[in-house]
Amino acid sequence: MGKRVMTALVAAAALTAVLGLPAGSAGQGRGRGQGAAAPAPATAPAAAARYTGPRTADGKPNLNGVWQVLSSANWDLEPHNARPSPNPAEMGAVLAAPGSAGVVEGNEIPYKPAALAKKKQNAANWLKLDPEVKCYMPGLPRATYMPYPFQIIQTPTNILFAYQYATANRVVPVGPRKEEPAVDTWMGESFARWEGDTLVVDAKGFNDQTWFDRAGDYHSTDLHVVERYTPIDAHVINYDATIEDPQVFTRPWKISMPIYRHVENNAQLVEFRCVEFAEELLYGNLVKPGAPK
Amino acid sequence: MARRALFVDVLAVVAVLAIASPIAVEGQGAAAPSAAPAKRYTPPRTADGRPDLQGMWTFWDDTPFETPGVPTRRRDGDEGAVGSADRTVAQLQAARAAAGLPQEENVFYAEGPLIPKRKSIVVEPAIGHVPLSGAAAQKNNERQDHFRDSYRYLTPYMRCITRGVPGGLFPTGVNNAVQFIQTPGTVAIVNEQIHEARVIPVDGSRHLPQSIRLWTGDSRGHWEGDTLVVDTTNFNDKGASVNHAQAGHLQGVGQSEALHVVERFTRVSDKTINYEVTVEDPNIYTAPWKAFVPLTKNDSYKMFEYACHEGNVYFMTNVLRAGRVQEKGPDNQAVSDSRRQAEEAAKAELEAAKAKAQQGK
Repeated sequence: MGKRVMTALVAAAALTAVLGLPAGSAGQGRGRGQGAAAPAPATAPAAAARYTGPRTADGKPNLNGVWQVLSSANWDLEPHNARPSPNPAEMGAVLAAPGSAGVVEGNEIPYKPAALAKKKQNAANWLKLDPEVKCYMPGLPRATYMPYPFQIIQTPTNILFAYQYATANRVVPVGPRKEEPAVDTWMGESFARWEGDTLVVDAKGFNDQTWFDRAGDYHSTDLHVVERYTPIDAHVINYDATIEDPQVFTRPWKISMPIYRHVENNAQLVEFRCVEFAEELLYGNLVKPGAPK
Repeated sequence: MARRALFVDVLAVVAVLAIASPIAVEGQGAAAPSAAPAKRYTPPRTADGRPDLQGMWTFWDDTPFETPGVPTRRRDGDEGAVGSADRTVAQLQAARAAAGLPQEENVFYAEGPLIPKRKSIVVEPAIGHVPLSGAAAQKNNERQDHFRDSYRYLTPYMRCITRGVPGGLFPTGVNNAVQFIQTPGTVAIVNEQIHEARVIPVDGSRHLPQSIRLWTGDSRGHWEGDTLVVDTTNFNDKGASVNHAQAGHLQGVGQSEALHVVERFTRVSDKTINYEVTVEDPNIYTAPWKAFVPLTKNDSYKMFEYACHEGNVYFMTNVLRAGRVQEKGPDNQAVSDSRRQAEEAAKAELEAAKAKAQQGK
């Protein structure tokens, strides 16, 4: 930690005191109040304070480490109340979906009318259709808010996001995108740049196979995702993702939520290779009677 | 005359020595690649003073996994049991013709020339053959015999679960590429195949508790001089150390919880990382064995997403469904229909011939 970091910390502390912002707070439901009626959606607090956490040798916020969201966005991005599990007769309260005030700015995902009908069909057939059930790669931005940790390995030239779920990962070069993606993929193709202390990741080249959550929210191959990781201190990143897909939505829309650092001493990913958990569902009916499944 | 003969002898000896040299030069080493390189190379260093292993490295290699010609316990002649690593394409085609099997169009699709570079990937024992126990060979044969019964009998690679450790660094037909990403305290090895990212702490931390058992184990790294040493334990007993078809009879040989893998990565030139691995599993092998694969820098190689499991439904359902159809045997409706038709046609022909003969009388 050098003099530059100390100066930054002091400046941040001074600024924090002047502005009266609680240092390093995670949004406790305080919205940005962007003219929305009634309680605004729970977005991250406006990060007017400067970043107070550690920096890498090249002066960027040091995002190396293990991270995880606390939202239940993976169940449903939009505001929703608690819902029973698929099999309450056996499972009772376990795997019932928790409720949430939602992570979508403006509360509603702006589907085109025909697309909204498809979303509802998806939701009604969730277990059959959600790629998560089959342990397929989650796509973006869903990989960020799956209920599993992920690890960031950050260098000046490449940033590796290693997601615990399904050992999905992406190596994101830091630099401009030089050519259009050659093929459509599950995780798309990402390029990153720094805007001040915000890491901006631009992703496209997606196939249409992934969902945004377990509520049937989906997209086409035109999907374009721009994520912004704005760390506010050593332990919290304010995250938002703008989603654009003119085939499915009437306009771009945005989600946001904080990402928290795992601070325990033995914080690490423990593999979630879920293919073996999905095989019986996918192929069990073709197994020889009596053979192991 | 005598002097010329001596000169030729000396030349021959020198030539033989040069070919058989154990010195690891640019990845051409064979017998003892861990011997110190003839010329000391100083690698570029990261900010924290370690050798910089970063970048894109490919490892296509037609070197056979084991030395050809050494007898195995695999029963040959079974479709799928023909390991292509220990034969040339021509030999493979001859073997298929001799077994009465149809030729394949892509008998050995490959992303590089079919020219073996060294005697074998396995370098210890010196014979270049893995000391597989009889029990483990038997178990693998049984697994292979039942491969149409359940996905559980297929290799972890075929199930798109993992290439395994160290399996992921053994060359196969295509997509032999790894990308190293390094920070102080972490080395990540991202493998193109099955998009596997090994995130290896190099921070003095200990292995996970013994009760945690993983497909690719738990890896911890440390530096010995300029060599990255990665120690992996905590394996489950469901995976396999060697997963790929080019390993012939070793394909799918299982791992036990006693498996212990030690890998050594040494950058010996701008273009080459020497990769050596020691595999020890007393429940599977009668002795530890070592393999050597050089990794070659290739900045122009682009990795693509390897969506293995997502695309695997066709392979899986076809293999299993074929097994269920085969099981029906003579009672299989389609088979018995066609047999019945053939019998009826033969009978009709016989009747017609008899009738004709009768008329002729």
